[in-house]
Amino acid sequence: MLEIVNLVVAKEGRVILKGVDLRIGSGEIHAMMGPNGAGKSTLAKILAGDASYEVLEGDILLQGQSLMGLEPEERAHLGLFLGFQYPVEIPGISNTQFLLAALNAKRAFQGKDPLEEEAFSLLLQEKMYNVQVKEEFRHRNINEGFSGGEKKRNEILQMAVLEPLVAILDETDSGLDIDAMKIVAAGVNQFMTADKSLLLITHYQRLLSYIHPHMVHVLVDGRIVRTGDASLAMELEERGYDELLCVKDGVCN
Amino acid sequence: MQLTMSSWQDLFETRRKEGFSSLQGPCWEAFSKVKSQEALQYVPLHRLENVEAIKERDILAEVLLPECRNSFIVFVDGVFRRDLSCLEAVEEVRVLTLEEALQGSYASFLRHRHQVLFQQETDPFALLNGALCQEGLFLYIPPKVCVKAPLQFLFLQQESFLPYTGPRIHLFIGSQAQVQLVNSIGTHSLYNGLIDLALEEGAIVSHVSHTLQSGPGISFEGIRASLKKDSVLRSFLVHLGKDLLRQDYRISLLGPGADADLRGVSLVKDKKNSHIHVHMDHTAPSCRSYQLFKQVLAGLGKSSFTGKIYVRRAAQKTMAYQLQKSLLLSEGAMAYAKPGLEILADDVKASHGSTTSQLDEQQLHYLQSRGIPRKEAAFLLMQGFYQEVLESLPLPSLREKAMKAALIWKE
Repeated sequence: MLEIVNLVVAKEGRVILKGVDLRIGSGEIHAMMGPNGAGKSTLAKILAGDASYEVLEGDILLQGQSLMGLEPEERAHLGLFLGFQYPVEIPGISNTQFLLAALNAKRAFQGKDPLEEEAFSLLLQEKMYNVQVKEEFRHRNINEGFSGGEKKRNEILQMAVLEPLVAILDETDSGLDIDAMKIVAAGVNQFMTADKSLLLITHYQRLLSYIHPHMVHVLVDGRIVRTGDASLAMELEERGYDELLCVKDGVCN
Repeated sequence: MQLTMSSWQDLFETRRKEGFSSLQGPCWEAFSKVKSQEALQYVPLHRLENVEAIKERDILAEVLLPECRNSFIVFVDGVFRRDLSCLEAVEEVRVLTLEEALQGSYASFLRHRHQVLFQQETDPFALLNGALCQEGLFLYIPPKVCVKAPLQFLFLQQESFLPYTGPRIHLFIGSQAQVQLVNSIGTHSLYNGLIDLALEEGAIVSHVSHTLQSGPGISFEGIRASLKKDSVLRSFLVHLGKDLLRQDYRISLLGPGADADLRGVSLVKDKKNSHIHVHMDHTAPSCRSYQLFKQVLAGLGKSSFTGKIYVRRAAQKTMAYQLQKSLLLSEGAMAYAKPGLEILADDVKASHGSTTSQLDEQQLHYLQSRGIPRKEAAFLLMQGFYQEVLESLPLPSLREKAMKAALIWKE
């Protein structure tokens, strides 16, 4: 479904990703872990088409189609979704207005008629119920004055409405208390079906007790240095990155 | 700066022969003496020298708001047309021409009001309005009367070329009375209107000035208001692209507890201009004033905001707030802002500010990443910028109209 081939990415002349290969099949959940500064968020942003990064080498394929050179909206139309680590606040635009515009843009791309406000309202109601967000989310402006947890839940609501094929959640668990995390995890688990793929970017193993990944990758200094099953995350949690990976100063302890 | 133009001079001579008001002479004299003015420094006054003939026509039925079906006052070519107006739903309001009012029982109030306004007046276009006033109106809203229907003033031009149109309306809003007013400014070569609101104790006035179409023409308007104890004024400006618009406010908070709230939104593109000037004068203690103006500029659009809040020594416990925001959508757009505060009292809460920004790349990216094309995302952000002001507009039909009119910006 999503294939990343030898991706080399730089920002302002500094190389951040130094050749990342990753393949996520349909129905699979992958977790990307790694210490601060490893390049996890860069990977997420580059997938979504953030123009402030420069791809020096490699390719990103979604269902076999290259995403290189595509605008963020085109990637979204093809079925990609990024749950942002820091969702921006946009005063003046309500969630409803925003989600309707987003959904109708996607429908236009698919050659479908736009959804009327009424039909959309019902759809939104169902999605809001599924991901357990309050009714007031409808009318509130995008992320404006939202708490950290509310912002993340709003990302999950957007994912539920837009029904992407591949979702990348960039540290969606950070800043969440345990109850909020359970709700987010439930939303994610509902989203996952046999035809979808998910990449979870996270620091901690905690989220992975609620969402069970098929594979865990460890990204260090722009490269995937370890890949394993869910037990790798447990191991990381117990021993920390340095000890497990023996990468401190490049010398194995 | 030489403001006096020969066509205006001729007009003044004609008016003087008609001998309408004793105030016209002094106004003209003061106007002709006006030297360069800071408040006008960004306004392209040279455009007034060659005002254009108007091809477009506003059709009464189209510009009338549904809420005002039975409560509207029509001015055609600067002249009050009783035959075209309808006051059925606002029978409590006494409507007189200024000429009638100056002869009747309101004469002493009106003469005094004229004097006060004249003495305070510093704006040349308000003076010009006084000097060239041809026919005006006086509206009396009796105390404790709550006028249910909103009253719409429609200023229309039928002559394809009139170098100048300057209606003048004085309103007396009795104590505890309430009224809602809408000034709808149609297509004019040059419109220079003045609305004067005298709010008695506890009176509540909601007022909207809006341009009808995004057509050609120049609109200058002066809003003058004095607020006695516990009275409330809410005033909105909706400017959707006249060639040149200037709005000049002079608000005096005279009694404790008076509350003035001014908001406005301008959307200007091409070579259009939007200029706002506010003089907010706190003379009594415990008054509140609020100003929020948002200006969106595209193409070679130009805007300015100059404003000052004065807090006199006696005006303790004042709360004064002023914020102006410009959103620039193109390289060629220009926004000038000069907010100001002058505070002589020592127990005051006051703030003023101004921001000029472009569309936020992060916000654009966020919307795009959800599948919204960049152009549409930019429009949504722009809408988000001005919606805050439009949403608080008191008339639903006007709100809808403005939202719809703004859609042309989507292209």
